[in-house]
Amino acid sequence: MVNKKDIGEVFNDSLQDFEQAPPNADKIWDAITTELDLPQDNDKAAPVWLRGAGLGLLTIGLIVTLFYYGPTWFGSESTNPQEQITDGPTNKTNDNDPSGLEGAVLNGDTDSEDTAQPLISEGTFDNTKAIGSEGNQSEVTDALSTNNTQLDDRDNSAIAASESTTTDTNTTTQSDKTTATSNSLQNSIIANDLSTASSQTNRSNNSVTAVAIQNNNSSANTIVTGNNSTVNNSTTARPQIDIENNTVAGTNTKNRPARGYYVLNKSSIKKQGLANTVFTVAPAPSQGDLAEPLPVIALTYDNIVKAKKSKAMRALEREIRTREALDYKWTVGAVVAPTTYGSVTKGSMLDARLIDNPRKGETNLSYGIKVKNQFTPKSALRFGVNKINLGYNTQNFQVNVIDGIVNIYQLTGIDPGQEISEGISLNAQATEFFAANDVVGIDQQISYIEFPLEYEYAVINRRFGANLIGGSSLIVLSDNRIFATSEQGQNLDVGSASNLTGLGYTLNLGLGLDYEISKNIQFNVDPIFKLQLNGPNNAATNNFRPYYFGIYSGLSFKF
Amino acid sequence: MSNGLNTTYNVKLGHLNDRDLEGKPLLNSSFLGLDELITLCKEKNRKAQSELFLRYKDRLFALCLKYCKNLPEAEDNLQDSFIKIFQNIDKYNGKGSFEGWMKRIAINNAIDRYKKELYIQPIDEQRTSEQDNDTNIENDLKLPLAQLLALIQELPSRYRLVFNMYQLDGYSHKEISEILSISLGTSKSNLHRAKHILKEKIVNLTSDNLNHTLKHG
Repeated sequence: MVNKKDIGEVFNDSLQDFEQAPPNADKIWDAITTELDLPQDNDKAAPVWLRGAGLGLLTIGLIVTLFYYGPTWFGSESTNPQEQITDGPTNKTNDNDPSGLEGAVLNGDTDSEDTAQPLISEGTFDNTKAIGSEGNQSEVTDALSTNNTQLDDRDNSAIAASESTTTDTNTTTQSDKTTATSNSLQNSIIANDLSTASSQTNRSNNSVTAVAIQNNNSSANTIVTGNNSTVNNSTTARPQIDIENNTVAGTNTKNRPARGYYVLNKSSIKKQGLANTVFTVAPAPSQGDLAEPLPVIALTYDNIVKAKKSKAMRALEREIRTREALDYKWTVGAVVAPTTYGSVTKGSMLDARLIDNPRKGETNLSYGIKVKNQFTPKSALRFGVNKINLGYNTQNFQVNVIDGIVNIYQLTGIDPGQEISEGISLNAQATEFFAANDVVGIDQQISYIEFPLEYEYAVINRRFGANLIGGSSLIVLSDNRIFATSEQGQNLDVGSASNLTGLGYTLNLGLGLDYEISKNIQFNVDPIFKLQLNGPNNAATNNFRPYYFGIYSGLSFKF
Repeated sequence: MSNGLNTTYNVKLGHLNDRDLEGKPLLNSSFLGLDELITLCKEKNRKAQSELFLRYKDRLFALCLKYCKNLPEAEDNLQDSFIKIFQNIDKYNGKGSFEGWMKRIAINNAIDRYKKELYIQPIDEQRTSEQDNDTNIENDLKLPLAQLLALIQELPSRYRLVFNMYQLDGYSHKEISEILSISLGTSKSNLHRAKHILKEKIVNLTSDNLNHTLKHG
């Protein structure tokens, strides 16, 4: 009789005390220390409400981004039939190369110090690039449409060369790690180490992110042009910041594809025509007894852009953003704001006797111009001018006419005008209106010209930004009218609010949320609460402390 | 571990700071007790961290190999796990096994990796024929450790996680279902299918070996 045992227990018994040393412990330790040395991400410190606000802004930002870039994305993806990786000999062709620079490709033997050959430049071209490499002969048919590319000599921007090696459908390139450990792979393995180098340029330059596709069989090559930008792609694969030169170069912290943290600038991919390119990436095999054929994972463009950014890269981006904040010191924009008027207390502005009448603030649209000066990476001063339109409605006012005098004109907060106050009888229209309506509503229309001066402190300073706003505004009364309204929708001008002052000032507190659509254009949503510090003249009697709340949103231009 | 690797690594350790955060000379970390080592790691002492790494890397790497589908992924998982361990070691309150705490971090990291993979990979699970519900094999079966490990790594990701968590690390189906956001039935079913696949592969392997022996004497 055969003695049988559950297969799970067999594995359990066999692997119970299993230990194995990682073959690249030193590299792993290096990577760990590198990561530990990086500044910690402070995201977790953000309060819950701020994250909620961020989420809201994210949604808005996505919609705006989709709206803004959507036509570009979706309109161009169906083109570029030549975007494919094919096998073949390594003949370098450059069909359309008006400047003589486009499509310049370095082969694997090129010295990495040779940094004078731009890969991409202005113009439009479709080229078939064939790349020689030490181990593999391959051809990259690449459609590089640089109409959208903003890399040119005038910008002094960094242009990174890509050295890529591709193979036939069953064969791919290998990472250096793979190459070092296994030269006898049965199945093909890939390995394009996609590195992103972000470069910061000065204010007059565009920042450029370059994608370097490198074959790690040979030394990594990067080509850079421009006075202020340098992108180095070294075999150490460490992110580098050279703030003094306005330069940042980032690479994977680990020089292998299996890490999975590819950082690709979407626009760069699009510009280089790689959008539909399929990168086949397989994990590197291994050493010793673990070397087995491994499955191939297909990474498409859509998948790549979903890939997680490494912490190192995010730290770099934060650093870049912080530094760039002062490159764009001024921001000018137009804002519109739905604005609601109300009182922080329960009283009525018009008369204390109206305290039991239902009242509500109306929401009107305000608009204005905002100017912001960013004087430190975290602090900014904002000012501008706004036209604030407010409305307030008191309902169910019972009309009484005694001795020809309508009681609405006797409310303490209404100035009916000179004629009526002097006892001149009502005009025919008013007489008819009050005769026909026993119950009316009282609508106030109030407008101010507002001159805000606010301080803004950045809590989150990234593409999605969040700021705390505090300050005050000087408000100048520009419109003050009161109407009696009937249920049928008729209106009668009954005067103005007698207790509103011509000048006022407010205390402003709010939150500023912004999304950078581009380096120069920003979308803002600023919910701000403004409490009027000098209330109406008889505020104490009427117990009315006005405020208004607006969500100021609009596009701003940074320069 | 190869000698070469040891040499390289020890050279690197030589660069580490031999003093603690207060500038006092640090004792040879190899002789430190675990509690002291943890305390120093909480103070972010780099040498203590390296000692902790040296002590536990093999055990955690073995765990990562079981939970990941290949060597590079296991290395990545090991790296991420140690980063999380060092970043969160303050949260270890001394209750329970420290090694167990580290293993849970490594396992959770592998699970997170699996969940992220769901977005960039088609679900690799496949229904297997389940005509044979028997998942028992001969008790005296002897396969090389590397081969057993390779069989686990070849399992579809979720099967591999469920099999490892339930069979090798003592998680209950309820815990697994909560962690992986699957139903209890799915967890049980995945375990059964994992075992079934493993059995099929072992049977094939043993028959291949037998044929090879017969052909070549």
